[in-house]
Amino acid sequence: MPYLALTGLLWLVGLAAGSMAYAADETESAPAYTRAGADTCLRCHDESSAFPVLAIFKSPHGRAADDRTPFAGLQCEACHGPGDAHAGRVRGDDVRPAIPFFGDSSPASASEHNEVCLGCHRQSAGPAWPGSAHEQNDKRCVDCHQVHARKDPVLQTASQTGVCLDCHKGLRADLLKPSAHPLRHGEMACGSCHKPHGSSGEKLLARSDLNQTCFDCHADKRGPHLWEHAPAAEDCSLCHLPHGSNHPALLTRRAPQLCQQCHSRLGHPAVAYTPQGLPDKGASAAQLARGCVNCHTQVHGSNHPSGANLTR
Amino acid sequence: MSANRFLLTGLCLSLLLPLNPAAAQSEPDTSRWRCRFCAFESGLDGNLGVDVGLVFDDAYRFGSGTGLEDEGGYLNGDLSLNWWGDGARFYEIEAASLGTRARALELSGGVQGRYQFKVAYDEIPQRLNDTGLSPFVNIGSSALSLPAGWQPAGSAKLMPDLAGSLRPFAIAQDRKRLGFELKFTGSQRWSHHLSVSREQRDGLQPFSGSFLTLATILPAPIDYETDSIEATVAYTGDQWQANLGYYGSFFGNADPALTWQNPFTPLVTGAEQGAAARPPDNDFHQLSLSGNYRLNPGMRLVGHIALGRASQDEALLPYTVNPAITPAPLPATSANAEIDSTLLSGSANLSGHLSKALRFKAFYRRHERDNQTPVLSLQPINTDVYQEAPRTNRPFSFEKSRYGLDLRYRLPGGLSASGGFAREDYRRDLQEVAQTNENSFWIRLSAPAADPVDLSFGLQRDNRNGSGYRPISSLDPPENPLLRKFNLADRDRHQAFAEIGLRPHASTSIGISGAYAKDEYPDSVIGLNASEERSLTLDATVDPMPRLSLHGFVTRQVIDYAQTGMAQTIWQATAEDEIVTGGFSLAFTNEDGSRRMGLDYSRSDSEGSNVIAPGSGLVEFPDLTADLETFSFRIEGRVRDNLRARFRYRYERFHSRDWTIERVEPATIGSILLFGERLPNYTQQILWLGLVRSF
Repeated sequence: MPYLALTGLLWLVGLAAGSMAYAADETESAPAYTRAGADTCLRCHDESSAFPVLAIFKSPHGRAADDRTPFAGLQCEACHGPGDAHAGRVRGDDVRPAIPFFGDSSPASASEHNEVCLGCHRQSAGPAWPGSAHEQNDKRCVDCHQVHARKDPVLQTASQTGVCLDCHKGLRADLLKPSAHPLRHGEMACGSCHKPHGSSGEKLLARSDLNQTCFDCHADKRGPHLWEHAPAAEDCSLCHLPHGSNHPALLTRRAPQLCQQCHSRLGHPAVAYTPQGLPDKGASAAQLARGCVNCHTQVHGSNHPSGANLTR
Repeated sequence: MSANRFLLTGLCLSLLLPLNPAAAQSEPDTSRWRCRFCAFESGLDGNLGVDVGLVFDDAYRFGSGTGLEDEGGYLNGDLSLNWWGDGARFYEIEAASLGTRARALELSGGVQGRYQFKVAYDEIPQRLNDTGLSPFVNIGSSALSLPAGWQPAGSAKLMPDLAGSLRPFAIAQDRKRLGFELKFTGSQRWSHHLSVSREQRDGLQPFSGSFLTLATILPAPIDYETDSIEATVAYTGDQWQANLGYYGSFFGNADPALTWQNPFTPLVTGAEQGAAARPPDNDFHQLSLSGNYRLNPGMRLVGHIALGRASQDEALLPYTVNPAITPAPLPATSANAEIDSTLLSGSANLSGHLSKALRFKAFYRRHERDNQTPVLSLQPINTDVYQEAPRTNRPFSFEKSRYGLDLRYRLPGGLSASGGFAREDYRRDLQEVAQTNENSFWIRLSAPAADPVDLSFGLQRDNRNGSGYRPISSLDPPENPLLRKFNLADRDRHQAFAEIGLRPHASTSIGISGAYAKDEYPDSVIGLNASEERSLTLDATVDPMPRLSLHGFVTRQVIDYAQTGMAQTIWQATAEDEIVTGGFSLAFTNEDGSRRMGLDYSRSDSEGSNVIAPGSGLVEFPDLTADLETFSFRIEGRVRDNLRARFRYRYERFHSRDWTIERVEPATIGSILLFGERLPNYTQQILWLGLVRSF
């Protein structure tokens, strides 16, 4: 019975898929291209215009010798669409018609814009783009990429993070926390851990899961160890905040309380450590310096046959 | 044909029905397209910058990411050169910070559209603290020795030779990475990509060498090398595309063990020296296949499968280096550890089928960690001091499945509403909870991005329940039976966010966003009880005139934790981190582009408070604080057509208070010989003056 119900549901979806709502509007006549191609566009869009475009000739898009590029084909209109109406004369107070794609008032949707880019860049976007977080949220390629720039900032390690922070504004504060990955100086970028075009990992992570992504740079933590520390083997983010933390080593909290969230064995793990253990009142081995790690140093696992307590 | 087969066949046929394609666009007549105004570039293009700099102070922590920890003069350079030849042949050089230990250099070239190679080298310095002290004479070695004639004592406070033997060292590491990439684009359909890299990490990190109740913090050497290789073959067809890839990572540690001379009076005969394992050499291989298939213009199926294996067979160290203890023979020469991982994920993405306004995504993801490491019966010697009861290792495995549905519907007026459901089933072995199941629901409403006011609002609710908490029976003493480890415990999670974007004027945009998340663990009598995170961000960009841009932001984030423990009586503790960050920037270019200037200011104030109720009354710890303030100014002006002069100034101040370090000397604890490092506070200023030659 459940099988039949599922099949019926799929039938409905299939019928809908096959029969509904995909017809393009055939009543519209095809818009016209300009008569002189890029020469038409560049009469206005020179370096003194509000939308200067000449830097494109310093970029890979401006290489006519590569027959895949716009300038080996329909030039500006390869990406912007037929521009005759936009380039034509405008009378009186009439509003200049928008260029079909990639103009301030272009009527195309995000997915229609992106299809223009994917017409050539589907391979570099990768197979995970459909359904990925940015695609699902209607982000356009040009929200991140600068097509006319000599060097696209989002493709440069030093400038990439700034592009991401334009939307992910809350993360800007993380990079300035006392413990953070070296993104602030441009030594790393968001793309060191994330794949913005979609990935097999959650949160657009570069590898298939969080730990594998961390092991890209922290391969010493991979083990597999003889004595594993289960949360470390399962998920680095149980103890670490990868975007930045108020505590050393990107930890969520200080030891011993971080460790006491999961350990309460009789004896020192269960003790209520108070400020009495701080100088000058005291000197608690579980609180000062590295806390519990002062002895249990192998928190990521141990490969020593006597390392069951993560001390060897 | 059975009824079910008939139905499924009908489904497949219906999905494959050809849909009306868009009206074909006739090719334009381009015979008069001369491209006379197209400023095609050829030859050399780019910039070479050379700067002389003055670093005002020694500021060790400032060297993290900059390589500029030492006071003095620096000669620095950067380079960005392109050369374009006939036939889309090109070469590029990008270089930055050449005069520092944060240098990066990249050389690439090829024929655009056919093949491309890249050779890249970069260094990342990490500088944590250079005020640590240790009595070991051969810091940097993996066999640490004390000064000749060292007289041990039962407490670090009583070591007669300690004060005279302490020598400074730095907790730091340098990463140096050399990589090579090759990419062939054989056609519009096929591409091949190969990248290989080697990364070396050198430095020192803290490591503890303990003998039961006595420990020494050791400066452990880091001498790691990681090779990686990644190869991908990609095919893009009319209806489908696929990537087949291999990724390999090979980690090597030149020091698989660390031995050290015990500075304390040995607790038992023979415990004059200790030995610990360092990270073992390991290999990781992963094969992956990703693809998508377009059933029709509005439906794509996306799938991914990855099979991985991590392994290590580093030779096991002996149970003890204490010659007075005769351990049992090791059951194996190595752990022969091996973990197989499987990732399987897929999604069906539909748009425009039932309605043009509806978008639909169904997804499934399964991740399995299958630990094949043999279970060994071991007879550990606890910290080279005494024979423990036999133990067996516990090779953890887990399997995590997540599936769900997302729906999005465009409402009239450009509004959109979306919502979804997901379920995660998590099965673990050898842990306290065999299975947890989490259900998640979310909704989101958003207004169109093009309007003067953008609004988005979302709520999410997650509820996790476990199959029953059974404490591990083999532990002696056992964990408190009321403890619930937070990653396994039943949990209620509430999340909300709201974003408002205002564009009162074409040149002004203002964003306000807030986020809230709260986790509650209703059955956790001992352990983490609740955590909460709140953040509010205000962000504004104003372009008051052409070529002038102003940007400012401020974020306040608060993270709270509440937990309970139990010794003789129950105690409760709360912690709160409050981080307030703000800043502004200005960028200006004059009309002809001959002068540019910019300035940036940012400040981050972090404050961590801890309160504990050890039974009666509340006791507050001193605050943990960390303030970072940066200011930079830059100006650049044209001297000649192809020569510009530039001036840059940077100020940075870091000030922290941290009770884990403050007033803690090497012998403060007595039972632990510490580094006794100072707070890494600094104030730094840097001036750069340079010339940029354009090509």
